[in-house]
Amino acid sequence: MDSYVVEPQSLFIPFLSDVLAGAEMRVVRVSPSLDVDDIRATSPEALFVDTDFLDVDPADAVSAMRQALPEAFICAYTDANSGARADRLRFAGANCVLSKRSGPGEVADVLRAARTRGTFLDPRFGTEASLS
Amino acid sequence: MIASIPTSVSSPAKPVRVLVVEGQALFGKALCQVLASDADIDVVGDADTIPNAPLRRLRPDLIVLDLDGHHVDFVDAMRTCREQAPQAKVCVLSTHVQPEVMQRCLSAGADGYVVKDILPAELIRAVKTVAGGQAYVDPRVAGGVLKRRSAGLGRNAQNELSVRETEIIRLIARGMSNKEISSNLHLSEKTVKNHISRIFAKLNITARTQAAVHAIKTGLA
Repeated sequence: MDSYVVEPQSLFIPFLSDVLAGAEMRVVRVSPSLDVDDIRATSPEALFVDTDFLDVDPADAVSAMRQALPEAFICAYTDANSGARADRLRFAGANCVLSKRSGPGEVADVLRAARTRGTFLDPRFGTEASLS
Repeated sequence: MIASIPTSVSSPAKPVRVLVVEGQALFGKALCQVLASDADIDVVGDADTIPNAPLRRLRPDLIVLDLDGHHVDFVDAMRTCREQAPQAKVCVLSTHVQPEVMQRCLSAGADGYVVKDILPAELIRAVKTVAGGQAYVDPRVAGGVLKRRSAGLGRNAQNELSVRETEIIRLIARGMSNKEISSNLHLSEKTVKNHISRIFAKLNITARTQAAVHAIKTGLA
């Protein structure tokens, strides 16, 4: 699955790419910031977005990505500790909302499972939606 | 406070014992992997926060401390480092390229300041530089400090915002309420209110919108 990563912590990219490869997600492009035109032009099957360093509201960013790529699998990666924030990301269009407290093996397992099931909200967020 | 960056770093006689403190589990593993790839660095452990780090037991020579996602007050974290591992140097990792943030970290006692788009080889060089007793700061951020000073824009230390106050004013600029800020930073609402009162006093302002404007104008948001 060709994947586009939005992540400004470039030191992290090689390791993250290996982790994503473990979930059958091949990183084809990396951007340090949100560039919807570039995402649309690249037209990846999946997006992995670190929502903690965006210049815009994370939910708005996810919504823009969803509009650009209606069929793509979108994973929002977040340090959020509130279920409300995680829910906003999901309702904005993220298929998967993943906590940064997740370890490498867990990330790969979750991404594989989320693609199969179509959705995943990290139970760490503790919202009703995540537990359903 | 800003040291020149040496062009080469000699290998230490014995490996530098490094502890990685990183709240993002994946990034923590990535950091350990990068650092452990160098024969002169011995990664002795990793932890998600300073309070959870066994500083006394591990006795690191250097602590790599991520400022982002740091849910403990940075000044408190530095105090803990000094109390429990007085021998250790502290190298801060951050996504912030704002000079103000770097200055506050150095004022709180950090020995190095690295921005997270650094290349792995440069990170290793930064760690060795700091472990060797020299300061290391990202050249782009250091350049910003010099520009601010030459432009006479620097505030006196008494009026400078702390790291925590900087985090809070950034969240104010994003339109967050006190409740949202307290949730985001794992602080009580009362503590957030106290920080905001201090921000208002330091900036001589009376409203959140003024704080937001200040944050945007100074590049904090």
